[in-house]
Amino acid sequence: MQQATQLKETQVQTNQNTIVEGVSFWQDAWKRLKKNKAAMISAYCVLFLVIVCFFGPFILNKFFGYDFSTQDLAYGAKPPTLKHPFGTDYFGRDLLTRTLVGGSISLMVGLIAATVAAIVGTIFGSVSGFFGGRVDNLMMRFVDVLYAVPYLFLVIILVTVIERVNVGSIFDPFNTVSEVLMGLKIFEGRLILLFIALGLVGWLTTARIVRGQVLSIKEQEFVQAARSIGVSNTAIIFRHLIPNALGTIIVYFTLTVPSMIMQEAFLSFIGLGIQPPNPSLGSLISDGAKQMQLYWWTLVFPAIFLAILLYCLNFVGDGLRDALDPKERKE
Amino acid sequence: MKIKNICLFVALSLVFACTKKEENAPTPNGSESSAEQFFGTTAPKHGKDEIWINNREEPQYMDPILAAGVPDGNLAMNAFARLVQINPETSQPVPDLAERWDVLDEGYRYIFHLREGLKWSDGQPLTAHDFEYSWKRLMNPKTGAQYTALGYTIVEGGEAFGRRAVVISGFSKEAAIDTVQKTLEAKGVSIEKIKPKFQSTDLFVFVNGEGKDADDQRTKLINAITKSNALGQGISAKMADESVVELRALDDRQLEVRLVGPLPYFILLSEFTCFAAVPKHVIERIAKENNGDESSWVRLENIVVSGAYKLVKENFKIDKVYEKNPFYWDAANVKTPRIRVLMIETETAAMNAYKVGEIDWTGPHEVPAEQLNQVQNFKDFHNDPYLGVYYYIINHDLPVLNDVRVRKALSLSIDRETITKNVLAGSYIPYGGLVPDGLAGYKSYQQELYNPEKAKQLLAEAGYPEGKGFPKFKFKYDTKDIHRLIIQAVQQMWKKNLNIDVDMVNVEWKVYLDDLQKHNFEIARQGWIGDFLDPYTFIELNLSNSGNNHSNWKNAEFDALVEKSNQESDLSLRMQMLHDAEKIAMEDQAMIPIYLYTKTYMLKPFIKGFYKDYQDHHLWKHMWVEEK
Repeated sequence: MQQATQLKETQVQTNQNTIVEGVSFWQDAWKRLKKNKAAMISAYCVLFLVIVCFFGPFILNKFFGYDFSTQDLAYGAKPPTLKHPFGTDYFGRDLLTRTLVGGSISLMVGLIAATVAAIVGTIFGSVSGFFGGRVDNLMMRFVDVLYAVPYLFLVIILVTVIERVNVGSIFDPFNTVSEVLMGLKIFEGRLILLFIALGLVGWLTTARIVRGQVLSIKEQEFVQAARSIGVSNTAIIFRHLIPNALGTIIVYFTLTVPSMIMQEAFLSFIGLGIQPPNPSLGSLISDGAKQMQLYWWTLVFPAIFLAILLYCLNFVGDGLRDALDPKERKE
Repeated sequence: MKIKNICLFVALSLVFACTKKEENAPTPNGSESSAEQFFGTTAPKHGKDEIWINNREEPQYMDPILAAGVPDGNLAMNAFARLVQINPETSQPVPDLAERWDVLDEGYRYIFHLREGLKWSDGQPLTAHDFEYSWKRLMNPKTGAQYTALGYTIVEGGEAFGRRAVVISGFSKEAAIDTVQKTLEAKGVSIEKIKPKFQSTDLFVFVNGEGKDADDQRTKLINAITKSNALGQGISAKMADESVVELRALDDRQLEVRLVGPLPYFILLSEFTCFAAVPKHVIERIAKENNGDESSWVRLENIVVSGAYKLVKENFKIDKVYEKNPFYWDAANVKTPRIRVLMIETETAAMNAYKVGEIDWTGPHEVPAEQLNQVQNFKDFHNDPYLGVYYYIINHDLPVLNDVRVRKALSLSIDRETITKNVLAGSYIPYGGLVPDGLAGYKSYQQELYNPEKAKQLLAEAGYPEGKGFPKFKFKYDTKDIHRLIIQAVQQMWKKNLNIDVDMVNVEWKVYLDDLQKHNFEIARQGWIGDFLDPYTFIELNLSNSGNNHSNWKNAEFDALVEKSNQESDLSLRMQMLHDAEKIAMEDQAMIPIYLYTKTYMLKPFIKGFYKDYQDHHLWKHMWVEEK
């Protein structure tokens, strides 16, 4: 009898052990993500592209002496060869170097603008959702008004207005780092305008989504419990509401990055974005499109590069959504 | 499923890339039959009665007196006739609205005799009074024409009217100018100069200052004379009005004009579009209807013209349709009933439109530099000499650029040879002067073109060794691929040779013109196409009081020399004076010349009556479509 009980106890213990170790929400998500082959391949692809974009130009400069801005006018535009796998552009600059630098600038713009959008959107959305009532109404109508203004129009106005203000000096430490890595100052001139302009108009959707999440989370018992023991509003928002909406925020963030890159490419394509000699994928494609009848490679390579980058980023975003938000997944 | 999509996409793009490669492999460049080929279609797409041409931009002004840009000029010169026209075959001035003219008083006085029965396009008679009105309207500061100085500096008394001098009258005999000046200056009036009125004891007083300052000076001056009798009893003063200009219609068909000197270029100048006649009866009616605002007289519903073509339809920024004006005196010889003018802003788009036959002539656009190698062996490609200088204009109001060493450094560090050869595919000529060579026996002054060592040294002397501390400046250009290509190369040269940074600012054509006029730029690109076949058209750009002087470069010595040259009747001496003036401007680096234009364009082989022209003026009235 005693033996039997002991046996039972160990069984229970082992059972308990497995239950205790359990799986957290994040582990579960990671498991799901790993199963999604498209997302995983894309993730490795993105990782590879990021590394190549940020370190490639440095290596190309060190070993081959290629530089994204030094021109060789006498050499001019030449089709791809072993020496220049992507060919050279009209000014005799190595197109591979320019594409990589352009890629890194596009990625920077995408990441920074998406981060700005995520931070502003999250705070705005959670405050609006948490306080509800008149505050919510006011804040959301403000978002609606901004929504009504055409997106591009707003960016163009912002770029022309902020252009008069010199904001670059605040970012000098970052500039030193980026100058060593890529040979150009990231936080200067038109680039910083792009960060701000894209970030400022990109947070609207994030704000709406976060507000929706917060509206449902704040009615749950643990929030009421926190309230009943007198936790301050700020603490509730930052300790309870935002961490619980984090999954959605991350998903939306990863989907914002490619859309920001696309927006940047578009702005650069119409000449509002980055200014020469700095390249971005958009300005490279814009230059290439003008010359495609003669120098096809100046269009084709940056275009393929941008397409692959956007596809991969979107797949990663999709995969993350499936992993973090299983309810939405269509089985 | 999604992975398959990616693969498909990648595969497709690769296939696309490969097919593109194959298509591009046998480029017409260098293939043996290319000389026999045409770049575009060779059959008229719009029939015999219509020619479709490109004019690049929506014009800033349709009024010939205000027109300044090339697109404006092209429309104005076809719609508004002048007294004389240029024979396209000989490049010599021949009668247009005037049937002949007399040169009197050793070249100081001209009388134009207008043709009989001239009419405006609304059927009203066109008389010498219209010309008197038009030319005075050009000189009137209220009109605000960019070429106002070009008008008033050549006609006797014009400057007094154009620069709003004060007329002092009532002297019994010729007054001593020095005494008058001293007396008035003692009253606290700041005087620039005093000039006697032609064949009169009256004096014109020009005051110093601009805008409101100058107005205050004028009021003070008039008060000093009329109220406190500074020059004695019976002497009166008033603002100069248009009656002081020595220009008048003697009757309906005779126009008399007295010049400030025996200007040898006067007849050529009178062919220029801003000396066209504008309809006094229409403009005055419109001004009355709109409380003095006459600007809407050029609108489609109001416009009345004197030239071969009249505007009949317009779509903003898309196209304008012109029809033959039956009232034009030579309408019988105008061959094409309708001209459609398109506004295709980018060169590449214009080339594509030309290729498919949409337009018959690429117009003011040049063939894109990247495309030159591809098209220059085709028969419909043309490259003609062109009276124009491409240069970078400097805002001399900026302290940094107000140092001749800095300006020289900027100029000497530009490798013009490489730009014209490699960036522009060899179609232009590197240049270091203000005036193109070969104008009526003129020899241009050439500065040193490229010397990076000297440039570095000069910049160091100016206080910026190795470009240290040199502020980052903005370069302004209008949306055109060619400017973008050139400035990208120059940007790199400045970076390499001087270690200074430039930001590029790209603005639309009208904004660009507006910014130039308002001095709202640091360095900008500028091209100047001669308005008439004399060096003066380029020299005039740098006169202190010229409406075309956007750089605010001012040099009294230069001004004096140019004024003196206008009084000189010996042609070779005059040319020498202009040459010396040019030397002053270039040694002070008033602007940075880059290259001499040539004009590249595409023209359909079936367009006849199209002549090579040094100024790229091609009157539609000579053109017609030849059908096979």
